[in-house]
Amino acid sequence: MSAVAPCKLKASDYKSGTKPVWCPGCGDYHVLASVTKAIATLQLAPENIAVISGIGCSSRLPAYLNSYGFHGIHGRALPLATGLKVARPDLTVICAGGDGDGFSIGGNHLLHACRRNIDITYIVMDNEIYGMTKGQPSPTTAPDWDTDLAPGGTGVSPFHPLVIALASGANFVARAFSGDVKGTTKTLAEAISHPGFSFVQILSPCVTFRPDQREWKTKVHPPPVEFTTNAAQAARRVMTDDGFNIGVLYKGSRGKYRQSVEHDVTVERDLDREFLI
Amino acid sequence: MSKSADILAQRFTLPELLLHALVIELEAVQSYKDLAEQMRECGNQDVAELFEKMSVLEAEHAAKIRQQAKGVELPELSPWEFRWSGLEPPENIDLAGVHYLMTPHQALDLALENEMSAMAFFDAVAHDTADDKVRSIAKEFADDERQHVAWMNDWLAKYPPPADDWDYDPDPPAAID
Amino acid sequence: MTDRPGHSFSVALLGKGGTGVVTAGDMLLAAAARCGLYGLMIRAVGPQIRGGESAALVRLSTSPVNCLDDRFDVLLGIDWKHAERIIGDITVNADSVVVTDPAEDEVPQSISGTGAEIRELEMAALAESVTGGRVNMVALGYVGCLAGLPEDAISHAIEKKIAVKGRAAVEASIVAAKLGMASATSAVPTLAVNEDAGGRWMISGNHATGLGAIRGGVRFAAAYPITPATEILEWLAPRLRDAGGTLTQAEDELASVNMAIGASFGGVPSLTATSGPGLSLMIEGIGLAVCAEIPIVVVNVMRVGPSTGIPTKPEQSDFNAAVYGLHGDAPHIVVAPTSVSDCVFTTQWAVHLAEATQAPVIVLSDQFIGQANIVADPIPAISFFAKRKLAEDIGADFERHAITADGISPMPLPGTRGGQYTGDGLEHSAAAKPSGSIEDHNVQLDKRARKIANFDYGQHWADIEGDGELAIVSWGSTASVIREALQRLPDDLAARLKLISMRLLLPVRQDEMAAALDGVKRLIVIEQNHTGQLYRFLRGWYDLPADVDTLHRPGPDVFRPGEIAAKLTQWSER
Repeated sequence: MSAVAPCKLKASDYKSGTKPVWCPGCGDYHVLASVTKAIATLQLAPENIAVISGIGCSSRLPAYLNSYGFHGIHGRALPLATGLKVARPDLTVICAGGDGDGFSIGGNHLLHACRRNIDITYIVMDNEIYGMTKGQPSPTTAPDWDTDLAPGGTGVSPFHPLVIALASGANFVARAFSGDVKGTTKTLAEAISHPGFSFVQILSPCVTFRPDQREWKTKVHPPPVEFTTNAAQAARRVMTDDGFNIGVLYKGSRGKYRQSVEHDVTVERDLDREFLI
Repeated sequence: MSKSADILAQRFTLPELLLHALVIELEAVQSYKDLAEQMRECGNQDVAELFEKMSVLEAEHAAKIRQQAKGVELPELSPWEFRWSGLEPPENIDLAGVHYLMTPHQALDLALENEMSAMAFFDAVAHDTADDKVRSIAKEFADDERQHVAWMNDWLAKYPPPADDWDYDPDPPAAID
Repeated sequence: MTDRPGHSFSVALLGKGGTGVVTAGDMLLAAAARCGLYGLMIRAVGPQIRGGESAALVRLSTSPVNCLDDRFDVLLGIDWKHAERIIGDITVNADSVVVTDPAEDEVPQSISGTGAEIRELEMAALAESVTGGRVNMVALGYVGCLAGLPEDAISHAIEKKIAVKGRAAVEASIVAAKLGMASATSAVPTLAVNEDAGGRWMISGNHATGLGAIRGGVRFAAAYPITPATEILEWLAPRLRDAGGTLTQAEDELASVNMAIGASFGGVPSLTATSGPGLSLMIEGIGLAVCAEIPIVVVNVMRVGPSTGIPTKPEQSDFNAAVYGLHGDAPHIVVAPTSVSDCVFTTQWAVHLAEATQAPVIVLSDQFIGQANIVADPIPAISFFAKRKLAEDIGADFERHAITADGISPMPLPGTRGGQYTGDGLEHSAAAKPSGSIEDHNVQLDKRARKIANFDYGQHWADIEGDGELAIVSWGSTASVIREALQRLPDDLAARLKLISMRLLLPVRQDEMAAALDGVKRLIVIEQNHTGQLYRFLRGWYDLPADVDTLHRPGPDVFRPGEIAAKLTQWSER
């Protein structure tokens, strides 16, 4: 598939034109670009895509895409997406949000979405802070990061999203960096195409509350090895992850969640007869 | 010139070179357009206008490359199959340099960086290819970028460098959600 | 309609992100405070997180103010970029002055069309003429002078706010401000400045809530950020710690409310703060606190609902959720501060009530009160202090949920020998054993209802002003607006009106309300929501006069004193 040869749809055709509220310099602009490019390479019809989000800066993403979308409530994007995918397995369902929305209030739902291996793609734009509410620590913030809500730092170890996703059964686990649009596009295209629950953590710097994250572009690097299809091996690798390996960690072959709404009647039943004495 | 540039340059066919050149310009057109819009939303009119101007410049360049590519069948590549030497195409804006209070000087600095890396890319291709046609086209593209670099430097001279406190915003960010 | 009293001066400072209008507004308020004036400031923002249009809405006055005026005397636009996105909050008319920089875009038609006087001020050029000079300082000097503030008050405010940036920055800012002052010619009513008054406070409702909590004895807070309540928690974090307590950030609101219950079960007065969406999540937890008889305080800084709503604007539409939201029959307490200053008392009182009745108390603040910064008289400490009835002398027949005269059972804290019990959301016997019996359920329901209904709330259930036969009932920030509206009415009409600003919304106070309504022939209920929630509640639970009216509308359009005064005049004539 080409980015410039006559395609039916270009990446820009997937943008809604609504002006993002994000601060200029926000990593999420690049994520938006990568998402549109990834979908363009797959040539998915916009009306067959649903982008589901929670609450937070990155959760504003659905409005900026020309697909169906749902800006849900804080932390509950995954259950919403799960319900939709079960009801409409024909749709391509993409879930998006931030580290606060996804790992804090949404943490429980992450465990179970991975466990079910529901066939959706979950993109978490991780900036290690609660940006929208002005700078509280999130589960991926370092323990010594000083904030008003936790002066001197939380003192609590950060969450390792890839470990949790892998341990809970996600079928595709990867990390990307917003500034690497090319790589992120490839990872997202693979994630969307891969059956089962695809989890992509995208490091996406917050220009307003984490100016220190400007350094990320010098810290990210490709992983020393290619992805593995062996979960145990992936587990060993991720335990020594420095947090800046950019690439696909694991591609599994677990069966995806089987339940879905069928539109044909599969078994004729006379429900009334059940109650007849 | 970097070693990776050596390796990349040698493998370019003419159609590939044309495709890469076209993509560089089209990506730049879009990036500058997006940035202009962001700057307009934030009330940074001066920089918005500059980015608009650059978008137009790149569009002109793209048109020229399309002319040159007439009759040539361009290959179809996925975005990740493009062979840039860095993470991104040479003229893709590094968001780390973007700020809602950025001054025209900084915007031009960003643009200059991009033109220079595009120029370096084409110079590398021209230098390391064995194909005459590829070399001559690459050299032409490199010269075009060199012209852009000269323009950027001219424009830069017109704008003062930013003051030390250019990004000072006394008001706190707004929590809108 | 009577003109507003000449003692109030309202300024709106408008500009895009980076121009510093909010900071200028802060300084204006501080300068006014230094001159013995009272004041209030709120911030209005457009949809962008950074860089977008922003406004500081400031009101200065010779007497305390708790709401915005009907219009602005001065609207100063550093620029008008995207002004149409927030101009709805800013009313000007032919009596107003609009200040614009000729170097910027023209004043939008929606503003110039009002007939306001347009004045030009070359703010950008003036700022540029000073090394390090900023346009918001020029604006500050100009409007400060129009307000009648002396030069040194303005300079002092600048100094205080900018001192961290160094001497040069302070000097430059003062010079720029002076250029603004020099350009100002007064033709708007200026305020009589009283140099004498010292010792006033500058405080926001959210910070006042935090203060009330600490004064009330709260030593544990669970926190999950949400607009517009986060400031309560961020203010408490270091101060609770210094007071020997702690604040723990929770993973979500379900965790926050349960953490607060846990800490309280252990004996520490506990609090959490949230907004509408968070309250909805906490409802199950609050029900647990009801059943298990655990004191907690849940502050809800209401914003426009339903669901995600409009997070940055006020509304009084969580009344139903707070009062009726719990499943089952779950008596609890709901209180609401009537102003920014009242947040201190009401929150402190909430802690006292929670501890005394061993029940959850919901405090309904709102975004206007929560985030408005006011200059007020000092808020004195009062001697309400949390007093939980503890079980210390535990005999063999001790029962955690024992039936007592007042319905409140002595509570053993973990660590008290002999008092061991399992707190439960399951219905239980007096001995705290799970029970499904008809008798136990009835007995415990009665007890939990009785302890709340029969508690002595004293005079604090409402603030009653005036003694007429026409009564107005209201609550929260709307009460403050009505209070000012009443001051604008002619004496003969004001004498016929009585304002009942309810502070205790639940439980119902039939006797007290009956006494308050004694002699009242007509009643109007005024509130900020779409369905008249308090009105419906009063009709359901209280005996009201036959003639009852309702005036309600949803946020974000807050009531203004002038319109209330007009409506009351109309209503009284009917």
